[in-house]
Amino acid sequence: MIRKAAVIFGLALLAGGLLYAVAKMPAMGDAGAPDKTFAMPRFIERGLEEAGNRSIPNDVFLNYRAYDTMGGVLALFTSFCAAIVVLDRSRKGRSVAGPDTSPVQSSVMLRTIVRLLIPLTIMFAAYVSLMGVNTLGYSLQSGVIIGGAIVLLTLVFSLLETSRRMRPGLQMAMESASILLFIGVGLLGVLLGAHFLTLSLSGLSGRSLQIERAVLMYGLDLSIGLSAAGIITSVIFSMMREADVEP
Amino acid sequence: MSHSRFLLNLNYAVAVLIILIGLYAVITRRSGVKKVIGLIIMQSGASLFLVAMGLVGSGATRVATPGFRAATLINPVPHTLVLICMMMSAGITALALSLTLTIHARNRKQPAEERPAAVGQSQEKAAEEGVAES
Repeated sequence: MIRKAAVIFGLALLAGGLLYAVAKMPAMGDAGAPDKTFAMPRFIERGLEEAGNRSIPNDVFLNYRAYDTMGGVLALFTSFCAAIVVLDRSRKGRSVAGPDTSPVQSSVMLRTIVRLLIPLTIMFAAYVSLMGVNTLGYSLQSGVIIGGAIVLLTLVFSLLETSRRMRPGLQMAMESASILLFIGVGLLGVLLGAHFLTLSLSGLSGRSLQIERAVLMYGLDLSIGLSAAGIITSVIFSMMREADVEP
Repeated sequence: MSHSRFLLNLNYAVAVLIILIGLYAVITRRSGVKKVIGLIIMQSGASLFLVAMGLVGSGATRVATPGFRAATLINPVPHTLVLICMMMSAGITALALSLTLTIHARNRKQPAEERPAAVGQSQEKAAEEGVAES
């Protein structure tokens, strides 16, 4: 009881401090606030011409601040590796899923509907990813959608059935491909005589430069989507395997 | 002055409340999964705060369509930050859940009163099982 009161008191103090700060902040939407006068005008006025993508956040994410994004993808990869190390049973010869021990078999209706739904979901993911090149979509979301489709497949059919269709090697390739694709696109710039992660290669101009930049940015985007799909799939597989092994 | 400013910044205040709700869950809940949910709620609050901060004027668009006016675009930087935040959140959630699951599996093997000594024992047991199976 006292502990709970202490927690609430501490949180109330924190709330007071934070709400005081909120009251002292520049008004929301104020165009003259410091965060909107520092880097933003450059990004907005020259983003389209310098980075080549109509979606300005994508320009910042994949071109201006691509190094930070690479750090992000690396961190995601590292956390994925850590999660697999924590969960994995492969060292004990349990990397292959056993038969489904669930007491309740999913119904025929559910299985049929999911079987129809999965291709549509994956098509939707492809649409989101491809629209993200120039408009309001994003590959991270499409990767999450694909991951969700695989999770659905695993929950309705068994882990054994899903891992028969999607082999562990494919998962591993998907996850490693993400970071390798990112670094590969970065090294392409170095090979052609520019800096690491330079997307505007010299010797190109006009339409061909636009296309080249769009393709390279899509490669970076795709790598993030792959890593999201890979992490969701691998972690759910490892978790279900863990649950299978436990009595 | 400060009073009216607070009303203008109501979105920030809501984001602060969401962060505090998440923090409360992280502090008070015993269950690891609920702690992870609290972390996700905190992350959502932080993302909401950043997106709200990116608003310029009435907040028209973030896509530079042909013939756009630069003044109608919102600040792209917080959106980028939130994208990275979402990526990190996926990684953090996966790692935290797998740790929770492992802790849960370790604790379940032993009766509650033996828990402090359970870690070493269950490791040995698991190693023996592994040898026996391989």
